Amino acid sequence: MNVGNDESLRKAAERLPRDIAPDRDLWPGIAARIGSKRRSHSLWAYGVAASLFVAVGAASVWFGLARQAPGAGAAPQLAAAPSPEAAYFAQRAAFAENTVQNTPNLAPATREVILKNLRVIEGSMQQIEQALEQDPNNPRLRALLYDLYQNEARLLAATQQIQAQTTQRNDL
Amino acid sequence: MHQRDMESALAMQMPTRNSFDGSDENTVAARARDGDMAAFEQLYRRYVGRVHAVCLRLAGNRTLAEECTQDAFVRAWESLAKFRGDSSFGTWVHRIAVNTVLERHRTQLRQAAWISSKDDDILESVPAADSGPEHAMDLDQCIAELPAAARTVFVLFDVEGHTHEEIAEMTGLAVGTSKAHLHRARRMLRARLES
Repeated sequence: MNVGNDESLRKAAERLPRDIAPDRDLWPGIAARIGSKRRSHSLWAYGVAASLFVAVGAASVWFGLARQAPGAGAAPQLAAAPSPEAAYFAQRAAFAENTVQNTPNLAPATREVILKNLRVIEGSMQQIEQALEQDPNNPRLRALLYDLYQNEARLLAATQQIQAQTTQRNDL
Repeated sequence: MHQRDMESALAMQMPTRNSFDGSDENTVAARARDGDMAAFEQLYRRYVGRVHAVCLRLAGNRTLAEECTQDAFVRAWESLAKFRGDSSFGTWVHRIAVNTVLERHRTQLRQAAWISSKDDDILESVPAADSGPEHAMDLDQCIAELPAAARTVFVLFDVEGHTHEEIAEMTGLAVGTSKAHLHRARRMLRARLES
C-alpha cells in the first residue's frame, strides 16, 4: 500500500469501508437489555398493579363516582366498539379518566397533567391493541401492552396517593 | 473542511429515508420513541454496520466493539425522547457510539494527555518498522494495533473527519496533544504499511 505521505494515508483512511457488520447478531442482547430495563423500571409498580383495580374500585365508592353517571363518557364508545376487547378497553379507559376527573382536592394543573399522561398511555394501548389484532401472537407487542398497563396503574395509584395525602393534611 | 467531508461521506453512506418498509426514518424513529421495539429493531438493522465499524476502529478489538455497539443502541433507546430528527438517526446514534467507546478509553486517554505533553517523547516511542512480509497488513489491522490514544485520534481525524478542536472536546485532550497523537499514529502506520 502506497502511503508515503500524510495525504495518501488520509485518502486510504477515507476509502475504508463505512459499514462493518458484527460477526454475530447483536440484536437479541440489545432487546434483552432494553426489556430488562423496562421491567426493572416498573418493578415497584408491579406490586401496585396487583391491587390497583381493587383500589380504584374502592376509590370510586369513596369519591361517589357511582352516583355521578359513570357511564356518560363510556357509552358512546361502547356502542361503537367492534369487539369485546375493545369494549373492555373503552370501559376501562373511561373509568380511569373518570377516576381522575372526580378525584377531589387535585390542583387543576396536576389534574390536567395526569389526564394528559393517561390519554397518552391509553392512545398507545389502543394502537398496540389494533396491532395485536393483526399479529395476535407477537410477544413484543404483548410485552409493550403489559408495560403500558403497569404505567397506567402507576399513574392511577399516584393519583390516589396525592388524594390520600391531601385528605390527611386536611384532617389534621 | 474536514467536517464537510465527513458529512458528505455520511450522506452517501447513510440509507435513503424511504427504506423502512414504506415508512420514512422519522416515522420509524417516532414509533420507536413511543416504545415500539420492532421499529427500533428496524433502525438497528439499518445502522448496526455503521455503528459497529466506528466502534471496531476506535476500540481496536472485536469483543469490545460488540459491547460498545450494544451499549450504544441501548443508550440510544433510553435517550430516544431527546432525538428530535434534526439529523438522521444514523448520525445521532453514530455520535452516541463514539462517546460510548471514548468513555471506555477515558483512563487511557487521561494517561495519554499526561504523556503526550511532550511531543518529542511520543515520536521517539514509535517502534521501528519490521520488514518481514508477515507485517504487510491492511490498514484496518494496523489501526487496531496502534496505542489507544493514537488510534482514537487517527480514527476521529482521518477516518471520521473530525477537526482537532472537536477531538479535543470529545476526548478531553488538548488540541496540541491531539495533533501530536495524529502525527505519531500516521508515522507508525506508514512504517507498518510500507514494511
